Amino acid sequence: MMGSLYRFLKTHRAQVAASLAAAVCTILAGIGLMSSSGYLISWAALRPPILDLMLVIVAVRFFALSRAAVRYLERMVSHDLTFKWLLALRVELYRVLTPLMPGLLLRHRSGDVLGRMADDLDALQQLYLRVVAPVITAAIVSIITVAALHVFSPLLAWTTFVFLAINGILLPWHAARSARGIGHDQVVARADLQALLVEQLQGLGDLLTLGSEDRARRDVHAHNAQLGRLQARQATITGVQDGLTQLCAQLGMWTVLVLAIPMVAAGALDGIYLALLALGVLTSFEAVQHLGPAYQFHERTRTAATRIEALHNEPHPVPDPADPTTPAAHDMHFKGVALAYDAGDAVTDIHFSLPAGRRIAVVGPSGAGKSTLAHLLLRFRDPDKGEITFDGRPLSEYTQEEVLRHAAVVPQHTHVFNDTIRANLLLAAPHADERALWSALERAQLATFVGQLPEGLDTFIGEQGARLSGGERQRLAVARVFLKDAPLLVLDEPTAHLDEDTEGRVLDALLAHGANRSVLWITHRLLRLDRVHTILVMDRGRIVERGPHDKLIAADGHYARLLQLQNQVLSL
Amino acid sequence: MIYRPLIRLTDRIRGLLAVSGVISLLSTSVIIVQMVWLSRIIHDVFMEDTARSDVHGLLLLLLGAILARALLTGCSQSINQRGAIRIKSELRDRLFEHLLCTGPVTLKNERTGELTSTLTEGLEKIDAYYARYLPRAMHVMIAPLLIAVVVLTIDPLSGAILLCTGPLIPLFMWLIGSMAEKRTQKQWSALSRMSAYFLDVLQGLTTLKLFGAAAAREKDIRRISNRYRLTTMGVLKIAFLSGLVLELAASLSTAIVAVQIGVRLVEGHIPFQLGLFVLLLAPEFYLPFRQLGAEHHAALEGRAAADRVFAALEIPTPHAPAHAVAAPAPPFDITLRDVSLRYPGRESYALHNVTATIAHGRVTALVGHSGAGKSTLFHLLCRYLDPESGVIRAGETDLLDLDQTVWRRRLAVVAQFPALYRGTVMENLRMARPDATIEDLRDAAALAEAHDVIARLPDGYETMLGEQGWRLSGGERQRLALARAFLKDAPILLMDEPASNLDPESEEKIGRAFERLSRNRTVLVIAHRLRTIYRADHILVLEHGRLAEQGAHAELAKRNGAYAGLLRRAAR
Repeated sequence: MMGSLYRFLKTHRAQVAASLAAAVCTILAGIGLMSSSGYLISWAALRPPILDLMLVIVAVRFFALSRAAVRYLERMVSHDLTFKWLLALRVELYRVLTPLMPGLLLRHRSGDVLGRMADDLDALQQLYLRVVAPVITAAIVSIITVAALHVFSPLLAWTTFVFLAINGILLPWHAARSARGIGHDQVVARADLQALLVEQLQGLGDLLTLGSEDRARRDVHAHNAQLGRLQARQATITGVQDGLTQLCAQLGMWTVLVLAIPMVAAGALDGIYLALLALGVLTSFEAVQHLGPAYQFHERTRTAATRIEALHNEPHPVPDPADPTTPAAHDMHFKGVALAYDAGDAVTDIHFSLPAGRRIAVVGPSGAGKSTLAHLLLRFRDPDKGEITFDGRPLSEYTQEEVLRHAAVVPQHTHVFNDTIRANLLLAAPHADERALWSALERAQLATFVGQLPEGLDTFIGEQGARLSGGERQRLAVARVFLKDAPLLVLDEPTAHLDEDTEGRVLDALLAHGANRSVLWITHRLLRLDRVHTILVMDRGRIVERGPHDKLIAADGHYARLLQLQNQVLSL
Repeated sequence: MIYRPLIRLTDRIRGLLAVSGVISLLSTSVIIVQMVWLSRIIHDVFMEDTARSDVHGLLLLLLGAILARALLTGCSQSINQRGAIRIKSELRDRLFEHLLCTGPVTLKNERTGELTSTLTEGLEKIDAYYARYLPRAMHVMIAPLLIAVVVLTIDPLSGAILLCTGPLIPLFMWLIGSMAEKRTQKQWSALSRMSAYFLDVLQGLTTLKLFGAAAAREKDIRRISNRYRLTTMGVLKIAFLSGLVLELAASLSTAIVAVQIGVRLVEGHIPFQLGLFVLLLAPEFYLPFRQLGAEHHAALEGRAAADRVFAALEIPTPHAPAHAVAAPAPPFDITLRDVSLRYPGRESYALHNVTATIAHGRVTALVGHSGAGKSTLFHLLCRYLDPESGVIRAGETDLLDLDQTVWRRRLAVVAQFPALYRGTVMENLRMARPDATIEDLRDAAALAEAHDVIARLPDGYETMLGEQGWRLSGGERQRLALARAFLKDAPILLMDEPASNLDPESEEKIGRAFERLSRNRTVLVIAHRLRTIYRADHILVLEHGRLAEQGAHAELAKRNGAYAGLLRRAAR
């Protein structure tokens, strides 16, 4: 992560320099204000002609005015840099993730992997503002302070240096050491509490009817108390740290005083500088004050950085071939294919052919591995065993991008973007005209709905399509498929959320669309299956039966049982 | 920003707040004493040419003050945090208790995700309010006042400067704040929208790839991020002004104090030690204001989070009787009389004037289209909801007069998607009867046809379930839920049959277990299986919230009504 940050800062050299210069000047102005004020009144106490003081008075005023101004400037520049850095982070993550998807998601069974990545970026965006800039600023200010003190006395300069170093390096290190583990434990405790609450609120009904409220209360209270204990310990450590930081600064001033007094007595130092030195040294500690939090913040971002960096080393689930080709025909064959992976249902010993222009349906109970076939066909994953061929060559000789170019897909969980309906449709065909869009909506049984919206196609559909029902989202995905003219049609439960009448009409339209295309249609509802050439019946990862609808009914096997079972259920 | 609802909660930590106030007072006094001694030392060495030994005692006193100050700083951090922890965990317990009372139906409308984040992160944001903002707000009322009084008594002119400029800071900050606050707030939410946009793109990355649009979206990310950066910087320009004013007021006032002391020193109107003392105190006078200003955002966030917490505490709960009556002893029928209910914000009735009887010891099946009101009726019987009008009686007792927990003890509920909780299979089963022996569990599992499910698990009854544990299919979960129902052995069984998508094995076994469980119990089942419906003693047919028909299968099938219509559709 530091590597990318370094590259980023190098390309924004001028702005970085400006932000650091402003930060340094802010603290220097503070030091200047207090030390010049000290010097002013010390000199004034000797009652010189007032005109002699004019220059110092101007200096006092200058420092007072400039401090606020440079501070303002510093905040503007550094925040602007932070936003630019966040953009760089986002683009980088996007680029890294693109080839990994969706294989990466298929490996993680649970948890909001992407949400966590976005959170990680939000933490990492502060890396410059809260870690890099304060450290560099502290170093520069310390050097300048020590150099300035050197003019008065090397002893005082190096004494101050020691205290600055203790305050800026030793104390943060000590705090981090004593807090080691607690930060991590807190994250764990919070995640535990959150998981517990999610589980209990989502399963609230059963919890209440089982009469387990007391157990739930006890659990929540215990987790809550545990988190509180960790936070109290953290607070003690922070308290000690705060006290020590302050002590160190004051002690630095005190020591300088103790050392300077004999110098004044011996005539090695003019007493007029005593107030200047005391005040200057004391204010110089502002430079190192923020290093404790910087150190802690750095520790905290480390996990985030590691997670993001790990993505860079993540092997591509489907590596691009060295010499990619384009298929001329679209026949597909699965030969002895097997795949076992974390997030999907494993399949073994899969043989079947999908010649160009044929329609195949895959049926079976959930968990049988139906979707895995679609993932393999689209080259989301490569098989562990066996081979898939596309136009006579192994599928792995085509890039994933190439395979997807030939396929129109209604995925099981479709993503609709937080944008207008139009934008969501144009994704499939950027140059489609108004008529094409409406025709696609018509066939997806969505035209009436969109027609009734006051803003029609330009209606915003909210986060993850929140303003659409599950069925409307699904029909939007279907409409997209009508807009993409591709020879392969992959349908993974395309009508699972639709009521029976709509389901029938959407299926008819999809099957009509698939008339001259190859179709792989996954479904658990046994409807319109007389319209496909072959039905593959899957159970626990294997194809247990295959053939056309009539033949399978006559065989009175697995398929017939599934059908019979379905007819025992009121589908409402 | 003193936010009343948050202040009200401080009742619970009055003692800690008082201690915090005392510490504030003490540390300010220590600062004043420290500055007296410091100015005295500098004065003696500079003006009186005293040798080091003469200020020896003073230096030791100064050291003592420094140590005391550091100690107080450390303590206050720890104490303030403790108060925040106490408030937070009390609020968390209270909110959880409230949600328990609210029940699952109302919660479903409130979005569990949002509620859990309120319960976790939301409350952590309140932390910053109590741990940092409030103590500093208190400090701002104590420290500057004390310092100003001291300065005023010994040097009225400087004291007057402090007293005049001090109040200017909050005034200006308030002016700028009220100018920028709305825009700033809007911008913070725009920032989070930007994060949401990026997350949306990440989540849709697979979809983008499906349509070959992944590369093009990178440009959008750049464009939109840059636009947000520019508008945000525009707002920060104003938001940072409050910091500018604060800084300017503090440093300029310090400069004014220094210069006027300098001028009066030249004229001999003020002794040096006194002048130095006042100069040393000036930054300490402004420091609390600056510290408070730094926590402004924490206060805003705390307030926003508090609003969410208090809103969640306002979610209405079902009626809890002031004097609950004892639950009736079986046998009793459950009768509904003119029961109506509308969900909040909806015009149409979910249930409208339903009058029906669920007879003791019989199986009553509830059928109808989705949205006909089946679940609503189910939830009324669970006491998750109260009827808007009409009455539900158990025997002669109005359900509303019963304590919810007591009533639920009479129920065994098998939901369509039963919840499993973090813990072993055994723990999950024992939720239904905490004192069940292992034999009891085995018997119940056998009766529920769940024994083979458990036997297949890697650690049998010790297998961990829940989010991080072993995953079970819908059918397997329901069999475990049936085992829980056998264990609970309640006189009333409420069951929501799975609508579809079971493997044939689960289908068969759940059917058998349900029949076994139904014996000698009062049963209400939301039925999807024809077998269940045919065997029911009584069928309630719901249509658009009204009871369209009721009777036994044979009788209803003869009529050409709603029930016959449902059956016809199923047969298609």
